[in-house]
Amino acid sequence: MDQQVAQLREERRRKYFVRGVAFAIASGMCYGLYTGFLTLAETQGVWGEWFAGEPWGNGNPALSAFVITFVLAALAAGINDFFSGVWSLAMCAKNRQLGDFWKTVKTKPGWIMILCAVIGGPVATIAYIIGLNSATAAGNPGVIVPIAALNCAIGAILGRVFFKQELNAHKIVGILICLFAGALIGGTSFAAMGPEALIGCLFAFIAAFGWGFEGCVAGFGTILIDYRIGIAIRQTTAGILELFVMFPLLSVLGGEAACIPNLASAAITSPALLIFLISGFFAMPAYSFWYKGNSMCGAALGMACNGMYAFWGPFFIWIIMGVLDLGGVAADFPPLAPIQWVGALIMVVGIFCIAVNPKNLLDKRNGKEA
Amino acid sequence: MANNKELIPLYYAIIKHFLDGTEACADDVVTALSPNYGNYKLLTHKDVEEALATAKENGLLDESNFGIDEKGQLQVYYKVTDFGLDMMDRYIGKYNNPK
Repeated sequence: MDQQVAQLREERRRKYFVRGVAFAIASGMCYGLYTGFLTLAETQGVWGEWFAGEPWGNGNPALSAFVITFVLAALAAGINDFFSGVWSLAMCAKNRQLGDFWKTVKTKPGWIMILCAVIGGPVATIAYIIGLNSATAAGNPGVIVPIAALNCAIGAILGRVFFKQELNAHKIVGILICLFAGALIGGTSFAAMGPEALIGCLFAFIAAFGWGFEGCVAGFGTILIDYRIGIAIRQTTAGILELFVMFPLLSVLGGEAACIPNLASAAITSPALLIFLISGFFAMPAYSFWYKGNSMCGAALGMACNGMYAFWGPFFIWIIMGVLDLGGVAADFPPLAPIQWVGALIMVVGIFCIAVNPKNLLDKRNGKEA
Repeated sequence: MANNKELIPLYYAIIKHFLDGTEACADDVVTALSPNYGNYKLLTHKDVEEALATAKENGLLDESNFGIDEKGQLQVYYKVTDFGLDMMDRYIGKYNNPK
């Protein structure tokens, strides 16, 4: 009996480990695909005219630099997150969880999830897209993804400062590796692409800060929510706030309140909307596969495998936009420079070090319980 | 059977099943909750097992024992942790199903 249990446990551990790692890696790939399709959407139809700074539609004047930088980022973030919220709600509906969804929103963990969305959506996601767009304008959007991946390192530091979470030696080493990789990518981008790329990196860094902080807050109570419901709350809240608060607010701040209805209706009727539907679709498993993977292979290893998006982000931007040339603008989307690919991979190694204690991993491999 | 509208979300109910220190496996939880949550699509062995494994990864529960069911499948028993008790008390302590 005991022997049989031991054998079944070993089988279960192995099966969970393989499936968990597969899910966590798939989540990182979905993150890369979401970023890739979002970048693609922003080159199509009226979006392409907007970013080119040309007169758009039927003779509307070119948009101001402020609108192009901030207002369009809020609009793109909002459409993407709103669609991913709709996809997440559709998943809940399929699982007949909509009743629980609404009940959860009204409980304390639900409010904390909404708070997470407030930090992570309007602040971090919009900053991420501002970064993505600035780097696109400078010649290569891929470089900012590994910078945004610094959120793991920043999350660990913020957790230490605000919530007195422990910071082991392997985490500190991981943080240092991440910062080194970030500096490497940011520095070479600056050298190769000029100050605009650095602005992109700066906004990606703000995004990393927001997501790192969100990660810290999410520890409070949100682990009590079913992850599918949690994601639906997170994405719908973020999308609604970005679309209905940040987009108009930024327009007013830029003194362009009059352009709100024009931009909104042009965005809704543009065929690019279908591509946002795809990017929003991939944003959903980017989160849900991560949770699923964590439950199977362990949160630490799950986070590490998910962190490979530092690599998958620029990779899929390059594949979708450059190699496959889906947007018809391949020349504007070259691969990263070799040193930047190396930086992205170093970032993955750093995230791995933050997430996984190498000692535990070795113990596990030798069959001991961690 | 309580009205669906009055029930707390299924995930809360699954975790709160362990509140009194009960040691239970996925099948135990399904059995215990089926009078109220019988019509929930996610009250299956597979989904509850995933919920328990996730709760374990989040530190709310710990694996406490192992057994084999009549089909020769491994049964993993879980128990609440101190952290889990604290989290439940602080965040979902006041949400309960009608008696």
